[in-house]
Amino acid sequence: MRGYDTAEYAASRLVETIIRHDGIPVMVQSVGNGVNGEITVGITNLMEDDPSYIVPLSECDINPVSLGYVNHKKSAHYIMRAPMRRDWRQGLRMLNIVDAEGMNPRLIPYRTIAQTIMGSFPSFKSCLDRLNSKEKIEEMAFNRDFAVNREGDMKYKSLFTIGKVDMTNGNLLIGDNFNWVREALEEQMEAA
Amino acid sequence: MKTIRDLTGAKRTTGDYGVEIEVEGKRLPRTLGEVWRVEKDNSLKTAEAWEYVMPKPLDLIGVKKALDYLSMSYVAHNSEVDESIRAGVHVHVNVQEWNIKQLMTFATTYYILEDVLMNWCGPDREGNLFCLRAKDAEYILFQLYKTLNSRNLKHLNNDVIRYASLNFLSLFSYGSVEFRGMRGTGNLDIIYDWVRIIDDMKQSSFKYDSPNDLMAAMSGDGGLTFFETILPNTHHLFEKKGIEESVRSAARRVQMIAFGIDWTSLSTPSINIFSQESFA
Repeated sequence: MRGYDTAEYAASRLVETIIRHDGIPVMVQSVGNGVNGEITVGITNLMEDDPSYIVPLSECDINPVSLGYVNHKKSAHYIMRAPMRRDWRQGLRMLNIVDAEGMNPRLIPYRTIAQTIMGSFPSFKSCLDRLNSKEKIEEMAFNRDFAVNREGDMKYKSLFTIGKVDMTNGNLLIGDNFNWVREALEEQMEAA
Repeated sequence: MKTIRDLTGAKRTTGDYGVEIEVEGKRLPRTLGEVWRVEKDNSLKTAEAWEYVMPKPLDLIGVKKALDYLSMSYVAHNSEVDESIRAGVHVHVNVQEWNIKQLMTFATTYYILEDVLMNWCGPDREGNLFCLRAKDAEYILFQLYKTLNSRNLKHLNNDVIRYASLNFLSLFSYGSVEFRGMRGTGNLDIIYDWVRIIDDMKQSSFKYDSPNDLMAAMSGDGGLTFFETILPNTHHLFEKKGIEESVRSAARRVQMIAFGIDWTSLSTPSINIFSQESFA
């Protein structure tokens, strides 16, 4: 998507929502007009504790961000955007996020969601180590689409339990009726 | 199986396609006889902005005639149409007499092609909040899964899914699904091409028994061949570069619908006598 034609309209769609700048998720604090008439945005980097800064809107990516599993506290939550009418925001914000299991997404900080937007997840092995540890973690995601719980159930998008992980050695057995997920899982494991 | 009209109680309507065109510009026609209804649209922001709405669905030939009439009216008024980021074209497909399996096979066909089609609709339509793709707002796929799994359309009767590029909320008001992806343009030939693309997709989807069957064909054929098979009369309108990857990646997204549902049991009445929920 390209930008907007007026600062006023851009503000109505972007303020207090997440967009990206240089590939990094940022929170839009304000929208205004720069000295040469271009639309500018005041943004806060959600990956670091830097102060806010102003950049031209044309440098930002206002396309919707990728979501999926978020590791928060001792569990994994699958979140997604809803194409809702009564929001009218281009960027992501709590009001247009839905948790697959009905949890209130406001319980998850934006900075935690930013990790998912960046695709930053622990490795499969690291997930197993932590699930086996004394941390009492219930479930952990190792990428956007897949998570494992303490019992070794492998979840896909929180909707399907697709197989069982042997928590002692990490071997995975996928159910016969979930062979369709195998290719996606293998690709994501390789990418990690 | 029950028809969509049986399931939603929508008022019976004939005709295939209903088109709504949002327009911002200058010297725009304010009356268009009985061919188009002219309405004010609050989502549009400029001083001169209208929505032209077909009063009733028409077949492809009727759509062409209506668009030609609007085109002549633009010329007569010396109209200027801005390709605004806010203005879109919405095409309703009448699905009243279809069953849920036919509807879902059609929807799955669209979702497999969605990224390519939305790219064709225009750079300001990809990722636009007024017509979000499944890759932008995955919740629509979850609601479809819930609908099919629980055999109850209520999960689609919600404003929360209205701004998807394929909107199911209109099932309950018109017995239609609404394609929201096309940009607002003064070139009405492009709008007609878009309706032809949708018609191509519709006719092709009828050749498959279920989304599962459709997905098997895609896997066997490969993305590009599948694309050309689904759009036999309109695939020439597209640049072929990138289609293979785009179709395959979109197909993976919709696997949860195609393979996560037992399509054979969908047409079987529930054996639970307390269950009111059935598509059979």
